[in-house]
Amino acid sequence: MNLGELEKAALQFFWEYGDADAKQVYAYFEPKRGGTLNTIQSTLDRLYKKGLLKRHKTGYAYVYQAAKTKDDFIGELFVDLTKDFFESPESALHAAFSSISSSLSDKEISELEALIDRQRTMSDVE
Amino acid sequence: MFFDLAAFLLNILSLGTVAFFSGIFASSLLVSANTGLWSFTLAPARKQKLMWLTVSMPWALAIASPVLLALSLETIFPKLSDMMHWHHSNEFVINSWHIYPTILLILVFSFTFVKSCVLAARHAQTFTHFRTFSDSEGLLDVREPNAFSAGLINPQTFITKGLATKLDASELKIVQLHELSHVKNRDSLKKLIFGFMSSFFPRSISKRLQHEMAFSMELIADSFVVSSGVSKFDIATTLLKVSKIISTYERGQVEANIQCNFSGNEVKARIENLLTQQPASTITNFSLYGSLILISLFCLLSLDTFHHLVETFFHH
Repeated sequence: MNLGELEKAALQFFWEYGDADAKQVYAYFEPKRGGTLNTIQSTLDRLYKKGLLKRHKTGYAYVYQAAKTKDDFIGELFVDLTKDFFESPESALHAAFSSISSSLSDKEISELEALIDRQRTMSDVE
Repeated sequence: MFFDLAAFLLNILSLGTVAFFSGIFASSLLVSANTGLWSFTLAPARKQKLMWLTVSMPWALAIASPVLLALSLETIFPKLSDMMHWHHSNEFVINSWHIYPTILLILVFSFTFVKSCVLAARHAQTFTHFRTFSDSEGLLDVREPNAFSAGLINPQTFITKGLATKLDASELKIVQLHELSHVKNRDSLKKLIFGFMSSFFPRSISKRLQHEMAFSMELIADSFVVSSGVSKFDIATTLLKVSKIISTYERGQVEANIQCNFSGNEVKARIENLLTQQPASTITNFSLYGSLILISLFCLLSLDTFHHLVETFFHH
């Protein structure tokens, strides 16, 4: 997903502070980044159209809030990264430390633990 | 019909294409037969080299064949000229069979190239998001346990709080060293290039090549941690612990989030590889690479025979 710097900063803002309208978001960013209310409004509108913000009307203004939690959003980025350069699903996210395994059964885990202990003991004896 | 220089260039393209496909065929046989070079237990680094050579062979043949053609046209190499037996280098019939493999290769190449570019762009974009949402040390403030490296030009390691907080300092160091190895070896970039080059093979072969390459990258990263002075038993224990943390997390999710999964056998195989002494391979570099060169030469020199074989069914 293509996200600009301001869009990412706005997402961070909503994850931290919950819901807000464009004026509140502008008041937060203006001292740090400058810009105009119009820029903030269009940024929030883009995030809404990308499905990353939800909004409802209160009076004349839209009140926005994050459509996804940070955990869910990062989780989707993990999925993006697994659609990587190799087709094989089992080699997805090659660099994940454990080659993460949800399919190791309890029996396999016990066997592997026993193997490690056995080898460690043998190595200590030597 | 084309004549002279245009015909010569089209013939070179056509010959290179046939050589390329014969390289794909020979390499695929080599991989699928599970005999010969692939039956040897090689150290991961040597296996990686063999895999790079396997996917490079068709390209090397595609480049070498026009060179041989040019040399065979010189009168100073009469024997080569007899062997290559190139008899219509200065004419090219546009509706002959020669054009079809060439068009096929151009189409497959364009599709694969564009697909790789899109994947690279998406990876780069996701990488910048991870950089934005992590701190300066690559720590991501999310519950999902994960550790990985990403990035093509300036790769970086990332670890989530969901994993980091469940590991002690020495376990965390092992995870970080493992990921650092992927960063140092530029494994993301290598995977992009290897993924592109292996895409020209039949699907079952390319999947096997990619799987073997990914697995050897993991073994090399594990070896790097060992070479950094960490006990192989501690690495194996950490590997198992991380697997358990992730399994526990996934079981707790309403929708199982299993996008980070190698198979269980991968973890098992890595632990076994760490703990058990692998038998040393007896194959020398001379025989390993010599065999590949011989196969390549055989492909090149049999192009004329192949040419005549095709022309018993199709006209020029």
